Amino acid sequence: MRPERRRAAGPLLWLAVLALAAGLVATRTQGPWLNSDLLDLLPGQTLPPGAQALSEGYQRRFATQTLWLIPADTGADAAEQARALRQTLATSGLFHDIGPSLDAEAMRQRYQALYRYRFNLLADADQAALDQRRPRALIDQALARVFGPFGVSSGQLGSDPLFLFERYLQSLAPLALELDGKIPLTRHGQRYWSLTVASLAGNGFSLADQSRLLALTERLQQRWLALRFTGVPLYSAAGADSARREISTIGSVSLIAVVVLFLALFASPRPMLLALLSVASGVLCGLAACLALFAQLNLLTLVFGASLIGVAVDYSVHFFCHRFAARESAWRTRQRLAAPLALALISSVLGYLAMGLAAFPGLRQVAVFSAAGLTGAWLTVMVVLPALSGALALPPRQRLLAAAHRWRLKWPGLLRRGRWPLALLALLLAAGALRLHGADDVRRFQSPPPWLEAQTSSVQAILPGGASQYLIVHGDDESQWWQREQRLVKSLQARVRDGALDDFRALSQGWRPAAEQQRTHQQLGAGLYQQPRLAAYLQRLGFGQPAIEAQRQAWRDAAGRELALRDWLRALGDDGLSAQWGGCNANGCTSLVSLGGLQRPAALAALQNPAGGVYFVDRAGRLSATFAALRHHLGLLLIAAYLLSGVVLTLVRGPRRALSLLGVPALASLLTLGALGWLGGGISLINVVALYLVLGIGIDYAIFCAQPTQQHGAGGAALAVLVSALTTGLSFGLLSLSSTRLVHDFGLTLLIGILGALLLAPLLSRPPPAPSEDTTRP
Amino acid sequence: MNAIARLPRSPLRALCYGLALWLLAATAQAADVSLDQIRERLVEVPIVRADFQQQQHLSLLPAPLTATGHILLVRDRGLVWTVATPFQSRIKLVNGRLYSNGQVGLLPGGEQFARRLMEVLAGDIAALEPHFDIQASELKNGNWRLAMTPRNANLAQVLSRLLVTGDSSPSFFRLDYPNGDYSITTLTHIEYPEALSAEEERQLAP
Repeated sequence: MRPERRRAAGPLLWLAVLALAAGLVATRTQGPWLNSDLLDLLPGQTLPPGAQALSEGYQRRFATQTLWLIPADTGADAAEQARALRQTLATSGLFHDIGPSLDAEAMRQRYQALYRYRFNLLADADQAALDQRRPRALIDQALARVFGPFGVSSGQLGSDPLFLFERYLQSLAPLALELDGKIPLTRHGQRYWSLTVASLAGNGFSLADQSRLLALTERLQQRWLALRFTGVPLYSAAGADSARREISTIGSVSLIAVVVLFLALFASPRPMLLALLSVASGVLCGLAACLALFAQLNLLTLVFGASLIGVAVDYSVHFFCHRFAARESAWRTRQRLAAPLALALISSVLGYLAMGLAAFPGLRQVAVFSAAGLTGAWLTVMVVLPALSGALALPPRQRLLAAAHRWRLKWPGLLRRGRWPLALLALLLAAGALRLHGADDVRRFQSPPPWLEAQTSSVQAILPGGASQYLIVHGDDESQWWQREQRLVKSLQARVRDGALDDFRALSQGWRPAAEQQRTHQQLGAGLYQQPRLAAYLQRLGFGQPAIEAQRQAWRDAAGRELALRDWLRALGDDGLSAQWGGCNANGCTSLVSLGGLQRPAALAALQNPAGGVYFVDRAGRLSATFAALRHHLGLLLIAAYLLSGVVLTLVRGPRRALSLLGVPALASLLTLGALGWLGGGISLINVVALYLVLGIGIDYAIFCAQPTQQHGAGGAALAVLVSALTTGLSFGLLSLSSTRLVHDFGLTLLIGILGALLLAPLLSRPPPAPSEDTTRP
Repeated sequence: MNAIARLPRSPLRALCYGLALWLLAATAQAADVSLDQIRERLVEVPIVRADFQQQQHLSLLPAPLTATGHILLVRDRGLVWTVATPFQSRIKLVNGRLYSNGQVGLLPGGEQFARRLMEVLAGDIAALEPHFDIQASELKNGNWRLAMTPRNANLAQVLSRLLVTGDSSPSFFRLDYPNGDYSITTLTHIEYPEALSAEEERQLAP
């Protein structure tokens, strides 16, 4: 009776463990436990205090904006179309901010608010003339302006006789746009293009909103055939849309295929449900272990971890395939399987744990998740499956078992007969492996649809594009911040001349601290207003003595008048520029410098200088670098994984058997790399992760194919390997049909790897008669 | 050149002339002509050279600001505006960018105003039509005359009326501003060379 009681106690104990895990997961997931920021997988980029909020606000702005352009032959017509477009965008309810509306009234207000400070703030070039003690140049420039082709008006000449304020205001305008009514227009290819910027409501937007946005663009394109548009939200929506369509097609095809396979094979839904139970309990255990050890779980951990646990389905498949034609109890079957399954589990778990050796917090999470998850799934198979399937009568399937057994025995001979073509194939694959190179650019993974790429490039041909990269400038106080940003502005101007970027926008280009404003006022006095040359210039134009004196008085009155940065931003009323100011606090002052038309990001990354308060932020670039580093680390750790598995296999089966067992996944992986070299040439993090799964699955196939063939249920092992391969091929392999690069790469790598392992594993089969010494070992 | 082109140099007489022109504008419309008829008379030339005289009558100043010099207008490339008196300077407008005395400058009134100016100087009626209500007529001396008022509200804020007269090319321009200022520019010694001289090529280079 003792074993009976033990058998009943096992599942109960296991149930208790699962309940504990579930309880842990339930309590730990109360707070924010899932983190979808991939950058958190890396030791973070340290930004100065206060910069984080500024940075995030700017990214949010960038991530919610969409840009729309409609062409027409006349400006009035283009503006009319833009008004209709804006109306349609507004009624869609998707956008909260549709513009820009630039009107003369706003310009007048800006003029009036800044006019009082015209002796303090100058355009860059004018300030440079004063700094270089060339005040005469400002008068010559004014004379050229007065007698130039554009002419002057009484108002201009009376209020701004040197045109310094006019030039300052122009230097603040980012783009020279025409206006029709309130609609900004730009000219390109003999046509007028009206410009509309619409920001999506809410931060991240729901899946429903994403499909509504795509439907809206389709409708708008039908109405305006020449409409051009772009924006990050469109990319997210298109990406989510294709992923959703694939999940519903590939996902359901693969699910149906696996269900049909299980039902046809086992003639009962129970094996399928029990296999599902083992994987689900594995995920639960992985989750619980991770949450117990780490504060937060990264989304990538969850995805990779759950994929790696996928191999656990095979344990159930082995169990049920060995139950075919078995005239023994479920517990007896379990007992027979315990040794090879334990070996498969331990070698896989050690392989996965090798990932944890990396210095990346994210990989440690993946290692813990997959190791704990796989163990949990295995325990379920060992403890719960026999208990819940004891009474289950499976169909005999003698012919299938016999066929599988024949495959396992005959296949090595077939391979040996074709060794010359195989050698040629090996050579070809080796050549393919030479073509491999890293392909870690995250933008490659996004794989946006061609129509959106075409839209974006035609928008960029019309308007210079804003870059997702930017610079953060920090100083201990306002004055240090300003001086640092000014130095950066000088470097950026040089980079613009070199063609590394098209343009940039910095607050310090238009605003100077109080002390600098006073200095400018003094320079204007010393060089012009307190000198006879200003009077001479005004006299030459025909100003009377009182008018000249009034000009000088205006300069004197402006002494001690300074414009604070916050008031300057308010006077400008430019939301884009205001979003670049992080403000000052106890930690110092922070600003953001936006970049446009970035041609060579590396030239700007070189400007990063944390000691000097300058940080280059390039999320996509950093993510790509993260992926490259992860790929590199995971690649090296894969070797460590093989070594660790090898140690266990050597201890259990001896060095020669261990080598041949490991040879299956190792050769399959090399074969995969060679094939990938010919198919695409670029490998990334995702291919390497798939190779870990190939290791786990390959060892499993090898261990079972190396089981003594004359043993009872030998056909079960072969059939289990075939069914496992079919299941994995249907669930993961079908992902290679995906048009999303990341998913496709994972599926394809796994498909080739499994196929390789399946073809190589039977080579380990030993011919039936002479029982080798190994069979006596467990 | 024609009679209108020979403008008096004295400021007072210029003012009188301006007034006379107003009267002329009001009464001397011998016959309405269509824009197409004027377009037929305009020669399509890639290069225009001319001497100019510009008088700006500002209500702020007792006397008009008078400048003389030389212009070079090259279709699809730009304008070189060289002032000889009273102050030597050169302003270039090339590919939508302004260069003042060799330095990159900013466009007063924005790109829009600069483009209209080029179109006016070139007599590019097709380009001007969308922006202005144009009334065409013929003067007694046989020259055509275009009276243009801006359609666009933004342009109307800086320019209230534009008057252009000419024969085979425009030679007289009067711009009226909303505050009562006005300017008169006349072109004389107009030439249509086939090609640019080396010096002119150099001047046009950005």
